[in-house]
Amino acid sequence: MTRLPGSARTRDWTALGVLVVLAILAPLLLSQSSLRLTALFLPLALLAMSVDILWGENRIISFGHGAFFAAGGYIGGLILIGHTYNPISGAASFLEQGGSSSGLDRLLGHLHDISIAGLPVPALLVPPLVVGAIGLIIGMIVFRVTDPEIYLPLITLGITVVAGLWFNDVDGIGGSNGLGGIPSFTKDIAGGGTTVQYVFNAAFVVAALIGYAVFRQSQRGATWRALGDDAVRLEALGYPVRRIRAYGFAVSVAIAGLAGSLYAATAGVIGPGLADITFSAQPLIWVAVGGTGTLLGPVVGTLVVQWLQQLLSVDLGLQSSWQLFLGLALIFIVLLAPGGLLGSRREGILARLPRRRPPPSDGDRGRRAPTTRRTRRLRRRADVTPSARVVHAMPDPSAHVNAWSPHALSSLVLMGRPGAAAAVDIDGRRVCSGGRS
Amino acid sequence: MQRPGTRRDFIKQAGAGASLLGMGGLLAACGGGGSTSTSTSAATNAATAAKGPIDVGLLNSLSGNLSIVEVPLHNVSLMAIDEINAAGGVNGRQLKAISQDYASDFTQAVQKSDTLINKYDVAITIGGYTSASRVAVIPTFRDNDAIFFYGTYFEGLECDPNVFYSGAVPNQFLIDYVPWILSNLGKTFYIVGSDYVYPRTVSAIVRKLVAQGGGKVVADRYFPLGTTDFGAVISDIGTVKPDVVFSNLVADSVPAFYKQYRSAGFTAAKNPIAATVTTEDEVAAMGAENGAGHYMSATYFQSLPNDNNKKFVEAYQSKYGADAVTFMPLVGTYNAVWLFAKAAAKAPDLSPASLSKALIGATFDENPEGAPITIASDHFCNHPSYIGQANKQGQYDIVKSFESRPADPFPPQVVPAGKRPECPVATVGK
Amino acid sequence: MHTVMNVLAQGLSLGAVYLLSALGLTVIYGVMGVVNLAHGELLMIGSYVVALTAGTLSVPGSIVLAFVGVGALGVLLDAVLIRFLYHRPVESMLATWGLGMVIRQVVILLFGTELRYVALPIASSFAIGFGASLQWWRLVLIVCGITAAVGLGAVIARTTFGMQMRAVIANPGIAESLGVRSAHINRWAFALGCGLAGLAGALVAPLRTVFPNMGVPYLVGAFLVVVLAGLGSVRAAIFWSIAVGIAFAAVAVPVSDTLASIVVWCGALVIIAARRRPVVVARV
Repeated sequence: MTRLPGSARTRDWTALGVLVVLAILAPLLLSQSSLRLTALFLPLALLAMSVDILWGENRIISFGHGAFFAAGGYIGGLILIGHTYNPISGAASFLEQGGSSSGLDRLLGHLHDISIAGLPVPALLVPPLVVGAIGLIIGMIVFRVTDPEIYLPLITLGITVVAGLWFNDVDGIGGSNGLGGIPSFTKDIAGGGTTVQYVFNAAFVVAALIGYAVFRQSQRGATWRALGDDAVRLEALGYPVRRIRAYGFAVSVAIAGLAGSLYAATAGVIGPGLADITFSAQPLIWVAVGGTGTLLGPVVGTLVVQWLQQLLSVDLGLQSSWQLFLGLALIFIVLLAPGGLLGSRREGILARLPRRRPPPSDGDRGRRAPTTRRTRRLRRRADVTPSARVVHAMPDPSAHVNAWSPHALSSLVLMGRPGAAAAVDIDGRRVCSGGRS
Repeated sequence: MQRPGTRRDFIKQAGAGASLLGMGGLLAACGGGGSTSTSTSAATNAATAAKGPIDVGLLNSLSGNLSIVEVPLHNVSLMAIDEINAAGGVNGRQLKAISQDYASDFTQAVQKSDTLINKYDVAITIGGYTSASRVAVIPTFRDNDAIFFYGTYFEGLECDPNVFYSGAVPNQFLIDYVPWILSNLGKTFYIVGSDYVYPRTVSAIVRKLVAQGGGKVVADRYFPLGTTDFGAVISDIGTVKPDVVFSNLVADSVPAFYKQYRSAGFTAAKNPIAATVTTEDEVAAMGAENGAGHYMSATYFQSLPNDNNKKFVEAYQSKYGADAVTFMPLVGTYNAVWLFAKAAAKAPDLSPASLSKALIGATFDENPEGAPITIASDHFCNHPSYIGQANKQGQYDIVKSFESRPADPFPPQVVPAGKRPECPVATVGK
Repeated sequence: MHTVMNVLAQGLSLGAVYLLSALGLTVIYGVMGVVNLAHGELLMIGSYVVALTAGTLSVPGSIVLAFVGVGALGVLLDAVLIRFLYHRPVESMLATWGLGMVIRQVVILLFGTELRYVALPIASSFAIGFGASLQWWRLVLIVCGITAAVGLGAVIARTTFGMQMRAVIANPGIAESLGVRSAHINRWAFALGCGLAGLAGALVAPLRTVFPNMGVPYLVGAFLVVVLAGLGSVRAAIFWSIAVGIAFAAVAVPVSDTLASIVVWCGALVIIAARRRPVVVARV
């Protein structure tokens, strides 16, 4: 049980296979201009995936990923251009710095000159590393907060506000005009056409998905999900919850940074508007539409929403009114189809309304912890019927003997953390046991 | 019916890349604008269609938060094309508009300009609106050796062999404005502006002009786009007591600032605001009582009394509604289409090289700004300028007119003599 | 001293706006565990009520209408949407963000995107000593902000409705068994929170700018306060609103608004990080 249940694993790989086939077919089926747009949407899909790592897997919502995405785009863009960009950014700085070569310019120049087989590798490596490092520092600070589910959105919102102001004001990155003329990663590869660009971006998305799929099925992935189920319990079990979360956050924003760099190079421009709350909220919408916590949901959601926008807003001339439908869709998804497009057929909130009168309590079962969507789904995946609920020997800090979480349980049992000796009995039969006492 | 109008130019950078989804932003409440639409004049003359129409690319946001301004720009381009076609076209060839909607998203602007150049092979692309959109697309035009015509006034500090600019740059409405303020309104300036490239550039020029004129800039403050509370700076203005507040605030900041300024006890008679971007729309939103008496400098006001403007406003309103507003970038775009037609008429062919040669020196006499407009060798145009004073009806009365002035995209006030680039730095068509 | 007075005056006035925008957010979270991201849009509706009716009802009348009207809208929203989101902070954020998009677009379709004109009823100011002055409308904001907060506190502490609200927060099951209709209480609490948003929007409309996209900055400001105060605590919200307002003004009056924003947000992040078990989620 450490891993995703076998059925889910199979489904992950099958879905991935289907996606790869579609990705390969796309250049044959789509027109050049559609392919160009798709190439532009792919880094956004990667951004959505980075958001889902936090949200789908750990129930933490970030409104700050736009800022990290933009940061990655700026860093990548500066390296691809090879120098800072001042002449247009405000006359005041033009006076003092026009054409001068600062230390930063020299560094960017050096990074710009490095390329392996025509590929400007530093622009791919530096953004995620720098952004990830920033994310790690921020993560170590913010995950001191209890209740990160509630407070992280608010904190990351603050990060977005500050970043937006800073990107607009700091010298060398074009101010409000942004950076223009960023060359694409593939300009020196096989002619650098639209198809090459598409394939390059698609390769990153597929690689990221494979990595994500492997992670989801690993022990670390199980721990990460367990954290989303019941962080308090994991902490009580001796897991360094804060550090795990900080690492997870760092990885997530590093991917956002990489996506930003890909985006900047594909679009050719990057601007401070990306570090904006409205933009930062978009990946959440994409993920919700595609399905949280599903492997492909974020990617599919992004492509569907972006293409719908293109069709409804641009091609059908609905202009911004199409957001009315997007907003309604969002509400619909939360209430009725929390799985989004790809999620399992989970019941929506409406189906799970508390009855007006609480049902009579049967015996001394005590108060049950709220059953999360994830728990319910995984219960089903684990083929544990709800009646087989009695769990023994589970150190339970909140004293809810019947409250249990398959993730917390499984990683506890099979990873053998100190102090985590445990056994699982279902219907009186010892199902598994593990750990050291 | 169209409700074009609000020249909310500058919300722009606020939206910058954020507008992937349009931000629910300031979309125009107008019906117009499917995207990739094409339109030819009804006046197509079969006899002259021998050589086929000339394709003109129009690159505007017909959706998203910039559409509120760019739909009118697109409309005026179509109107100019119709006028040109009705007048017989270019040497008998009709103009045909190829529209591409970049949906207020600069990343798409890059792609759509590439489509215009490589798929439709247009003779010229007219459009763009914010500086960010221009900065985004220029490399594409440079790489493909195509020509882009930008019709909005902007901060300058740029010239490009592949770009022509029919909008004004700051020197054209500041060089005469600042000395006029110094001799008529007072010597000490307090500059406020929204925080982005254009206000910062204007303010850098104003600072130098004020110093040259013997005045003094006592403060220079910037506010994030979207700021609507100016209590702090207004209390500071009360402390510093300048003669004039020079405002480069834009969009939603403007009504808030003027309202709070008056309610803090400042009057236009004693402490006038001299603005560069406070349009009639913003005066309407702040209430005429809060705007009355304050000043604004521009190369175009809808109220200009010259005949060309009367004809232009009448034509525009008869087409897009009696309450349609004409404003600076609208006129710039209108001029761009006409200047292209004039140039195309004398160019031997429409290759970028020939066209760009022909564009230099092209003149359009019916410029609504009230003086013939000509493209100079640096790809910029000359413009007259006017100082307006807001009246109690929320309109601007023209209090002073200045002769047409050549553009100086790299004004000596901000760019040291040694660093002035030669414009254009290269020629099109290698 | 002159600057200090200016900072205090502006800080209180800014703080009052933060407080007014944060109160509704904090009540709604406190009672029903809903993080309402459509709060800025509800505030915007309050502003539109004033922009559209001030001519016929006079400004004070339209402010009352904004409070009542947006509160009534709250009842409707609760019935069709919010009641499904109780105690689901994450889902509620997503659904109310969608709700905010819908409200914005509906307002755009109905009233267009133009900036709306609202006359300032008292367009003058008065001296507060040391050469500093305060605009009358800012005083109105300060008085209304504090009155609303104190009034809300009194409602919670002194009235039967407040007592039932606290009972529902503490233990809905027992409250119900004692005859408190928790659905009823939740609905009115949500309406109260919405009404407070409408009131905030109505009060800022004459001083600031009214347009469909105006809500987000207020939401962000309200968030700043609740991050510091803890969601759901009225007393802490009063303290932190004023603290944030004065901190902002202390930088904005002598230096710049941009720097003030950066200082305030970075300060907030540092404060949060410094409190190890920081934000006790007090419930009202």
